[in-house]
Amino acid sequence: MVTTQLPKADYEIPAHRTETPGAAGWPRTARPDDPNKYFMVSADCHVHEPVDLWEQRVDAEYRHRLPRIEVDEDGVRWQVTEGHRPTKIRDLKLAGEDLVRDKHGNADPAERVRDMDLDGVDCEIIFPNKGLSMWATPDSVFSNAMCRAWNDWAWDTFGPTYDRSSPLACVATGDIPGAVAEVYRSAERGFRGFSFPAKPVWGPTGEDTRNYNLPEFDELWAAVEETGLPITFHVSTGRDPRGARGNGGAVTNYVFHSLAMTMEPIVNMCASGVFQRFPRLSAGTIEAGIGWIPWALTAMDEAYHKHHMWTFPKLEMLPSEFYRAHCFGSFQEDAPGIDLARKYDLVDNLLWANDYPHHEGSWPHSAAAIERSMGDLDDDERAKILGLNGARIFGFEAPNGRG
Amino acid sequence: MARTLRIRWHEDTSDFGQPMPWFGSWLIGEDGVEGDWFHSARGEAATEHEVPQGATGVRLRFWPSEGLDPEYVDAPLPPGVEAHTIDTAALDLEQPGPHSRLPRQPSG
Repeated sequence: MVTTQLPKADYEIPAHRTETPGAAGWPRTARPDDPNKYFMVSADCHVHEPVDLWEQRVDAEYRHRLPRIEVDEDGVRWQVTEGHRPTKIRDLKLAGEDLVRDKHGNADPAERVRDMDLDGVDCEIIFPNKGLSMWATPDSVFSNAMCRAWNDWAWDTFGPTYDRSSPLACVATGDIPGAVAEVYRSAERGFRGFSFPAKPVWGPTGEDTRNYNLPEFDELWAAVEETGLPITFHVSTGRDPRGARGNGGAVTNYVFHSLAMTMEPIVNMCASGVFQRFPRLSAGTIEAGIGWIPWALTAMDEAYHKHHMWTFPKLEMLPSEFYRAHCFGSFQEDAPGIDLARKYDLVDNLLWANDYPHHEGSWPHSAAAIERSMGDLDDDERAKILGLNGARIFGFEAPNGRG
Repeated sequence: MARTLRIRWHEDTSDFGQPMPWFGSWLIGEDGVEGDWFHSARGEAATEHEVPQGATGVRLRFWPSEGLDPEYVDAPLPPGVEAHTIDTAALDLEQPGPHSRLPRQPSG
């Protein structure tokens, strides 16, 4: 094993971030100092919002409902958000590169470009950070008020550097009239796509809750189709991902309650004929990994065939075919998904991301992470997954000859 | 005659090593609902504000850890007092406020 070139650091960097088998035989690499580097679009990055973004910008009638920290009678502090159970504030001390990541990802376009260059990233799609809790309320009208505030701020901040750093417009879909209005407003402004919650109304799934398979969302799909922009579903939106507590909770919550749940909106749309009724619509999962996709496509088709007696509507294509034609998924490091990409004809559907600056991501060691998992792909396949697919879906311009 | 509120915002340092952010807004009515905001700045300051009609108090937010949501304290405006002064350093930040949204026995 060799180690990629890293900026000098006065702390130890864990081997699981830097080890690489190398890139021998690759005509070009993801290394930032490679003059022939791939064109790279990170389909999932995050920004630390100014601390009082929502306090300043949300409609005054909602300010008292914004997330905040409460003190109990014993002086213990709790984070209180409408859709989450109260969470005790813990004194979490980060060190080394964990601390470095925690202090990066700011709303400073120049700083972000430096960090992108350090990791070989040409363009980034930006999602909220603290703002992921904008959807953490069963009141979608309130949620949309918070989304509008974020969108206003995001456009003010990143509009001038939108060719490299592009936030998506956040929309609370449980409030359908509000969502339609925000879709049009955001498209008119110039956003490259939308961030929808994985479930339209916050909370556990139930047969009586609104979901994306229902025809009442056709008005929203029609509006999005008219804009021609893609929909994304980011992990941990739509319901509290902290469904487990105690032993193993952090791993269980990440794998199951955060990542796995995000397949639901995509399965809903592929199975219910949304893409048949709205053939110019595209939608994808963000940060949910990709190893599940071959399995999910197989399972959808199996259900469509073997449960034909219960399956409606009858579709003009199989659910898996709708996925391949309309959907995409982003990942940071997912070797099983990469291994299956060619076999399951998914190379055009996968988007790489470094999840900057989050700990689940690969910044600033993305080249090593890419070399660990993408050695079996050919050059064209790597080029698509690392950047060209993202450029096609989100409308970035890939420089000539760098695709 | 307009009522006046003076606030002395005390100096503190956030976990990010920066002067701590402060944010002030008016409380209206008795249910913890807020009206307009009147102050957003980092660090020590002395400010003076005309109290709007219907204001019953102020909500003062602050961010000791800039990565988390704000802490806050509610301070009532004594009725009938023409000029009132609040010194944030003298406020009790270790007790639940009158509009706490914390359930009586939180678990988590």
